[in-house]
Amino acid sequence: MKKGLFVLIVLSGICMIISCAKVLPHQRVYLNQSDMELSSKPIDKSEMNFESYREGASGANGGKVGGGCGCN
Amino acid sequence: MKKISLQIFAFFISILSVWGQEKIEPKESNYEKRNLKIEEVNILGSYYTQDGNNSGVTGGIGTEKLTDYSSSIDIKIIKPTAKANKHIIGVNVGIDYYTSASSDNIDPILVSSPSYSDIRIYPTVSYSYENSNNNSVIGGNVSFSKEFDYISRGGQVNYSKAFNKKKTEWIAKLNVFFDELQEIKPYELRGSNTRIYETKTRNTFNLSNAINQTINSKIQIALILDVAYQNGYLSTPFNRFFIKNDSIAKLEVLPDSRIKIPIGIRGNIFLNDKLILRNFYRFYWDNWGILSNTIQTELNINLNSIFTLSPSLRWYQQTGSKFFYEKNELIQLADFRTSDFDLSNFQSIFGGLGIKIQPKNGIISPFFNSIELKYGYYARTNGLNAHLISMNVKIK
Repeated sequence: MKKGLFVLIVLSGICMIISCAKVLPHQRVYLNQSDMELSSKPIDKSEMNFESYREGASGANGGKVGGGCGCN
Repeated sequence: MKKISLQIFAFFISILSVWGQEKIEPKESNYEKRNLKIEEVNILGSYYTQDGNNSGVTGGIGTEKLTDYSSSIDIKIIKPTAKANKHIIGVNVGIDYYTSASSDNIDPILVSSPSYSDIRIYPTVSYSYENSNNNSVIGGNVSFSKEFDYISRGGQVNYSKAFNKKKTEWIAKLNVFFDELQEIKPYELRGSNTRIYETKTRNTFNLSNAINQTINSKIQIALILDVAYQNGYLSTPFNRFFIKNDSIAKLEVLPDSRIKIPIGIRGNIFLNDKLILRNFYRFYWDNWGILSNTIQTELNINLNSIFTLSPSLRWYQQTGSKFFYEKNELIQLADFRTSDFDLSNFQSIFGGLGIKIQPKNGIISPFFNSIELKYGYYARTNGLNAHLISMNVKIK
């Protein structure tokens, strides 16, 4: 648990430092592509659903963390 | 002559008056009709089948054969406002149909019990307001789900705000589910009223926070932190449990509360015009003793302007719950116990291959935007394996 939090804090720090890079509006053409979206794809909904049934862990991926069905 | 002149003058005046009226029209046309518009429709379908030999229904040993057919339709409707903001309405309806051999073992007295197959219906209605002046979105949804032995009522409120010249976005969501389940015990553990079930409740509260960050013109990442709390009846009522030297089944018993904390990081990289790499890592902890790591990567290969291939790989590992025991492992009954192998110590792997067909002018018509197909194979170190075929049709 502590290890995971440490990794997260370090990664957050790195991101904040790097995030100084300028991105002009016309340079967002790559970022605006549908495959670059920072969320799971609609087609992966069933995959996330069965994984939440078959595994102890869930969440932090746009899917449910629990409740809502007789699966967990 | 005078009469003719007057007639011509009158004619000119009438033309000018008509033209004058036409001139006024653009002023009136500043009013723009802003009707509801269907922005996007996603139709999803999937077929899932699994097999294994560790069913919790039969105490950790027994068939896990299950087949699930799922379909849903997701409609997104937009109404723009005068100030270039948007009202967004979403309607989603899903139906699942499954058959489960292990569920049939809840009540083996019946040749084909109601639990052998079931239908789940789950509609969701959502609304959000997108404010482009302050780069924020506020919204919520209400959801409902109904199965033979399970009813769920849920709700969500969400807020997001972009800042730092839209390079950073903060997203917060609060989800609640108020669920009711029928306590369907294994047949031999029921009292005299074998078909009358007690209703139990289960509540779930989940707060999700995410920060989306643009690193440069080709990389963006998301950090996600969820905190979930569940209380109520969290056991599976029809799971059996066996201890050594006792052939009489006992009930699975799990604590009546659970805290889950998953932390995720997603990173998407635009490598070049042909390749986009999508990566995901998750660390998970809960107070039932499960620690887990998930690593997922997907490469999107643009073969040409129509076809995109998406091979993907997911590796998952979890330490088992402190309440998990294999069949006949215990000599004495523990207060909390389960032989549900979904809570055991294992690793799994999921390999998938997707193909997206998205011609510039649509498939058949411009509205029929794209079709996506994906096949995936799942294998767990304790023997469970599964196949999944999914399809998504997008209409715009």
